[in-house]
Amino acid sequence: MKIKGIIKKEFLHIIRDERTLYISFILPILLLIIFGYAIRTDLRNINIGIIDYDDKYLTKKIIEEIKKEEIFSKVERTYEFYEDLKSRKYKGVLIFPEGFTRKFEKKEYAEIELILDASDNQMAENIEGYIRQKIIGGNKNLQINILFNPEMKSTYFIVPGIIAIIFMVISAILTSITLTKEFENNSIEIYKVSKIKGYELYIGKIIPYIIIGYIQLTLVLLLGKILFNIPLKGNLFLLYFLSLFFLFTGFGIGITISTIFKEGRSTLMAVWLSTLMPSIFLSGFLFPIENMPVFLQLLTYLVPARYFLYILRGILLKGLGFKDFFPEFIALLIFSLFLIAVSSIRIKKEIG
Amino acid sequence: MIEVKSISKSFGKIEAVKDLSFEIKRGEIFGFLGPNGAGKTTTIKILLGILRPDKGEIFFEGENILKNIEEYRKRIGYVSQEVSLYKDLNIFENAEFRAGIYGVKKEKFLENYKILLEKFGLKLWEKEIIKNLPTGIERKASLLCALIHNPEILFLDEPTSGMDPLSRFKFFNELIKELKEKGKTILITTHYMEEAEYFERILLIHNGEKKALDTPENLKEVVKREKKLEKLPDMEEVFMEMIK
Amino acid sequence: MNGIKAIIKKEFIEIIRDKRNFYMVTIAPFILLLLFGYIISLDLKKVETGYFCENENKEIREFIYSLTASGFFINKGFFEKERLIEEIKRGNLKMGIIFGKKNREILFLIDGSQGLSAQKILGYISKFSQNIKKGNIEIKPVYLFNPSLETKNYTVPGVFVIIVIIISSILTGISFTIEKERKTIEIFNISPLKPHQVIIGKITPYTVLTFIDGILIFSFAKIFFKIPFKGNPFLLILIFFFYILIGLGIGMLASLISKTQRESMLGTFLIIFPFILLSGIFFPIESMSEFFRFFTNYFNPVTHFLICLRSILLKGANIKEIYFSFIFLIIYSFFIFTISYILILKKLKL
Repeated sequence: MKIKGIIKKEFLHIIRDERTLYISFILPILLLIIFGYAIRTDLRNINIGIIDYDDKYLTKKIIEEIKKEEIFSKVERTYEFYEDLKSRKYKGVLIFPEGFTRKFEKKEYAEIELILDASDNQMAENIEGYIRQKIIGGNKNLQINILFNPEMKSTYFIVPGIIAIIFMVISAILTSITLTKEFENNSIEIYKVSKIKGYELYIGKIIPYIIIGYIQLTLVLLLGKILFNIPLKGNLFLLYFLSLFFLFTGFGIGITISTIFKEGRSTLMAVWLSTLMPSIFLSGFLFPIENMPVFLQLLTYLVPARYFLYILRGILLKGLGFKDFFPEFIALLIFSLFLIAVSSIRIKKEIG
Repeated sequence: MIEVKSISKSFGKIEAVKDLSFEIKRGEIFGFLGPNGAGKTTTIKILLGILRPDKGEIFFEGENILKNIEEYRKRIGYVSQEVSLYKDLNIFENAEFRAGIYGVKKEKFLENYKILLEKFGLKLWEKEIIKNLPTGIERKASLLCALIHNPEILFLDEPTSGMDPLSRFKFFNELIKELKEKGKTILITTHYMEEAEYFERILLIHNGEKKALDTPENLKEVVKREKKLEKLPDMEEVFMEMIK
Repeated sequence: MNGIKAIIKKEFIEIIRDKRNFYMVTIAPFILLLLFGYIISLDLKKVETGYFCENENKEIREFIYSLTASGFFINKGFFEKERLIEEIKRGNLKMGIIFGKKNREILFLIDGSQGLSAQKILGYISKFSQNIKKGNIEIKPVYLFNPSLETKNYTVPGVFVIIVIIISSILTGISFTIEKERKTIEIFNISPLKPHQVIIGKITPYTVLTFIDGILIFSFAKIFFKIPFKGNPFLLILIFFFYILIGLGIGMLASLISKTQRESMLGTFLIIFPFILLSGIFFPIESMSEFFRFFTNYFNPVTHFLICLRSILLKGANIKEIYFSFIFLIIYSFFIFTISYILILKKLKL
C-alpha cells in the first residue's frame, strides 16, 4: 500500500528529528506545567503599607484584621506613601486619619483613605475589593455560588485551552513543516513521478499526526486529572470523536499554506499568524470574547478554536451532551470540510 | 612559500588526513587530486586556518600561520565548492563587501574591480542580483570576489565540478593561465584525473594519505617504467597504480 | 573599522531587498499592536444576568433596578429555575440570581468555566454590595498613577514590550542563520576579521532598525491609545536600547545553535514564549508559584523592561526608583553578548 509507505516514512522523520519529538511530547507537558503552576489569577503575596495617624484601639484592631487576610504577605507601617508606591514597595497604602476612632464612636462617617498603585488597575481594584470586604464586611444576605468551578481554579479553564493549542501545533505547524521540507529538498518530485494519488499522499501525511494528537490529548487529560484534578464530567468518546474535526481544520490550513509558500520561513510565519495566535487570543482561551470590540467578536467566528474550546469546556467541566453544542459542532464540521476540500485541491495540483 | 609539516586530523574515529607533508612553491599551479572523500577539503580548510590540525604545523614564508592568522588571511583567497555570494546583492555590492572586510581602500578596490570585471567578461551582469544569474556567471563572479583583495595565493576547491568540457577548457587555458602570468600561486583540488595535465605539480591523496607528489610527466614516467608499459599511461591509470 | 562598515552596508542592502523583512517591521507590529491592544485591554462590560424568584415583589424589583443601575449588569429577565441554570450552562447567561423566600436571601450563580470572567464578576458584586450596605466606616480609594483606571494604560505598554522582543530576536536570528544556510558564513571564516567585528557589523543594522521601528510603534501606540508619558524620555530610550540588545542577543544565541531559518525561528519562539507568558503582562507575578516568581524576578528581561516602561510612563519614575530593573537589564545584555561572543568564537574561528 502506498499510503502505508508514506506513513512509515513520516514516522521515521518524526522519530529521527529530536525537535519534532520535543514539540510532540515535551511541549504539552511544559505548557501544562507553566500554565498550571505559574499562571494564577487569584491574588497572593501582596504588600500593603499602613500609615496610622489615629493610633487607637480601633485602628489597631482593623490592622490586625487585615493582617489575617491571606492575600497579603506583608502589612507594615510606613511614613511616606508616594515614594513607596512609585518604587513598587507596596501595591497600596492605607491611611487612618486622626480622629478616625472618635468619629466612629460618635456614629459619624469615619473615613479611611486607601491609596492604590493603579498602574495595574485590575490589581488595584481587586485589592480594594478585598480590603472593603475585610473592613466593612460583606452583606450576609448575599450568597455566591460559582458553578462548574467553585474554587475558581484557573487550571480548570486553562487545560482545555492547552489542548486546543497543542492540537493546532500538531496539525497545522508540524504538517506544514514536513510539507515545506519536501518542497525545499525537492523530494516532492518523488510524488510527482510516482503514480501516487493526491488523497493517498494526504492521508499518509496526516495519519501520523492524528495518532500523535490523540496520544497528546490523552497525556494532557491524564496529567490534568493527576496534577490539577480537572473534572471530566462528560462523555470522553464524544470528546475524542469531535477532536478529529478540529485537527482537520488545522491540517487543512497547514497544508494549504505550505503549498502556497513552499518555503520554510514564510510558511511558519503564516501558519503561526493564522492558527496559533487566533487560537490563543481570539478563541476565548484567556480573554473573554464578549469583552472584545464588535469587529473582533465577528472575527472570532472564523476561528475554529472558538467552537472547539466551547465544546471542550462544555464536555469536561459542565458535562454537556451532543445536543447542547450542536451549532458549534456544525460550525466545526463546515470548517473542516471546507479546509479539507481546499487543501486537497492544492495538493492535487502540486503533484499533478 | 607554504610548507605543510606532517599534519593529521581526525573526526571521531575517522582519520581524514594522515601525516601529510608537502610544499607549495611561489608562482606554481599546484594540483590536489583524489577521489571524493580523500581528505582534500579537510586539508584545504586546515590550510585556510579554519580547522586546527590535531598534529603538525603549516608555515607561510617560514612563519606558523596561526601566529598571525589575520595577516595570513589577507594574503590568501578562497573559492569554495558552493558559490558563497549574497543572493540578494549584485556583483558590485558583493565585491565591495568583500573588499571592505579585507580592509581594501576604496580607490584600490575600484581599480582592481574594473580590471577583473573586464577580464571575466562580467560587465553585462554587473548590476544584476546574484539569484538571477546563470550558474556559470555566478561561479565567475565568486572567483572575482575572491580576487578582489589581490591575494598572493588562491585556493580553489573543486572549481570545475558541474562545468561542461568547453567551460573547463576555457577555465584552465584562459583564466588560470592568466592568473599565473600575474604571478599568483594557485592551489586547485579536483577529482577529475584528466585535469592533471594543467597542473605543474600534483599531490595525489587517498584516504587522507599522500600517495605521490611530482610533476604529471614524472608520475607517468614512473608508472611506465614500473609496469613496463609501451606508451605513457593516462592519469587515471597512474592514480590506480599509486593507490595500490 | 572598514570591515565593520562593509558588513553594515551589506546587511542594510539585504534588509531592504527582502520583502519579508519589510512586512515584519512595518505591517505586522502595527496589526499586532491594534489587535492585542484591544483584546487584552478591555474591561468586562456587560454581565448578562437572569433571575428567578417565587413571587415577585417590590423589594426584588428595587434590587434588580439598583443592580442594573450600577452599570455592570444587563437585565435579561426572569426564568424558570431549571431553565436559568440551563442558560448559564450553555453560556447564554453569565450570571443567575435566585431570590430566597422570605429573608431576602439572595444566591448569585456565576459561570466559573469561562476564562477570567468569573473573577471580574465577583469584583463587581462586591463593589455593588458595598453600595447597598449602610455603615459608618467608609473607604475612600485614591487611584494613583492611573486615576481613571484605564486598562489600556496597563496593557498597551505590555503589548509594545512583546512586539519589540519578537521583532528584534527573530530578525537577528534569521540574519545569522541565513548565512549558514547559504554557506556565506565561509566568507567570514576565511576573512581577516576578528569575531567582535563580525558581531558588531551584523548587530548594528538590526539595532538601528528595531530602535527606529520601536520608536515608531511606540509613538503610534502613545497617540492612538493616548498613553500618558510622565517620566524622562531619555532614560526610557537608554533602557530601551539595552532591551533591544537583549532581544538581538537572544536571536543570535538561538541562531548559533540552529542550522536553518526555520529552526532558529522555532528556537527563538521557544525561548521568548515563556518570557512573555511569565512577564506579568497577562498574569500577576505575585500570584505565581514560588519557583516561577523566582524565575521571573531574576531571569526574565521582559518583566524588567516592562517594569521600567510602566514606571516611567505612568509614574514618572526616575532612575533611583527602578534601579534594580535597570541594572538587571544592563547586566543581562552584557551576559547574553558574552555567551554569544564565546559561541561565535568557537564556531567562526578555530
